[in-house]
Amino acid sequence: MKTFFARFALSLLLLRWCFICQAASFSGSSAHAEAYFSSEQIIQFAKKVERKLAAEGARVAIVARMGRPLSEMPEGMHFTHVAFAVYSNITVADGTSVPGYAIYNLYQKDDKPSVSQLVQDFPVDFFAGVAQLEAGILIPSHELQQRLLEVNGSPTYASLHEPRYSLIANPYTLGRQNCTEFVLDVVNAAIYQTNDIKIIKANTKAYFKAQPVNVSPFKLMLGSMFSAEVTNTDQRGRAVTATFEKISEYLQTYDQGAKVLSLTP
Amino acid sequence: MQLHLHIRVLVICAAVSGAVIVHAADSAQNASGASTHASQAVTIGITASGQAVLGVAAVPLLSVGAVGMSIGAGSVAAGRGSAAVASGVSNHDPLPITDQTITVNSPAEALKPRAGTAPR
Repeated sequence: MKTFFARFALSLLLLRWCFICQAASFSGSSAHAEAYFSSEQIIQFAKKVERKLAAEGARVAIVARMGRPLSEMPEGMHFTHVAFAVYSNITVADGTSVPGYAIYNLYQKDDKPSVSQLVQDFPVDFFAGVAQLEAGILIPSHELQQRLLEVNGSPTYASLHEPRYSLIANPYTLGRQNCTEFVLDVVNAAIYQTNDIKIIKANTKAYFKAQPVNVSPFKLMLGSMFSAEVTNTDQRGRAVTATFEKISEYLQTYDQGAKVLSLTP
Repeated sequence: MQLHLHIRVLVICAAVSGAVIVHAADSAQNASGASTHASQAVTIGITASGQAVLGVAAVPLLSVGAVGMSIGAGSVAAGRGSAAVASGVSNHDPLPITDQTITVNSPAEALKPRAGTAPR
C-alpha cells in the first residue's frame, strides 16, 4: 500500500516536472541579451516604414512588427504586435512641430505582464528590439481612416481598452484583450460608429474570422497554468485569437480600398 | 527497502522540480528584462548619438474637411490648428514627413529604472 502511494506521488511529481518544461517551452521565453539590430538599422527601417505610409497618403494605418523570430511563432501567426500609426503634428523637445507618425499601442506592463496599458510612442520606438526587420502595413480606405481618427480622438478609444491581458485573447469575448483584439475593437467601433462593446462583439462574431491557435490544448493548459500572460478563461472550445493577417483579410473583404503591404529593408 | 528507494527518488524529483520552476521563472524574467534592455539600448544609442529628437506631444493631423466631425473637443481644437499645416494636401496625395527620427525617451529617461512597458 505504501509502495502504491509512493509510486503515485512519484508519478505526480514527474508529471508536474513535465508540465513545467512544456509551459516554459510554450511561453517561448528565450532570453535575448543583445539587440538584434543596430540603432542605425532600426532608424533606417523605421523611417522607411514612415516614408511608405506617407507616400501612400495614409493618415491612419495599422502596423505590425516581428518581436520574435518566425521560427518561434505558432503556425498561422507571423507578427507579434499590432498598433495604429497616425499621421500627426509632433512637437519635439525644442518646441518646434514636425509632421510624422505617432504609434498608438496596447503594451503589457513590464512588471505585470497580465496587465496592459495604452501607450503612444514613435516608429523607432515601435521597431526597437524587433527580431526581424519586417513590417506589416494595413491601410484602411479613406472613409475608415476618417472614422478611425474620430474614434482615436474620442473617449471611446480608451473605453475599449480591457487591461486584463492574454497573449491569446479571444476576439469574440470580453474579459481579456491583447493588442490585436484592441485594434480590432477600435476598427469595429469606427466601422459601426459605436462605443457599445456588445454591438462591436456581436459584429465581430458575425463577420470576423479569427485565427485558430495552432498549439495543442495540452500546451495551452500548461501555458495558462504557468504563465500569467496566457489564459484560456475567455476561450470557448478551440482557442482562437485575432492576428494582423486576419484583420487584413477582414478589411480587404469589407472595406473597399483597404490595402495590405509588407515592408523589409 | 523499495519504499526507501521511492522516497529518495521523490526527494530528488521534488528538488529538481523546484529548480525547474525557479529556472522557468528566471527565464521568463530574463526574457522580459532582456527585451526591455535591448529596446533601451537601441533607444539610448539613438538619442545619445544625436540621431533622434525627443517627441513631447503628437496631435493627429485631420484631413481637410474632417475638422467638423464629431471628434473629442480637445482633438477638434488641436485639429483646427493642424488642418492649417495639412492644408493643400488632398486625401490621397503623399504626405510630407520630417527627416528627423523622433523617440519617446531621452537618455536620462531611458536610464531610469523602468516601470513602463515591454514590447512584444
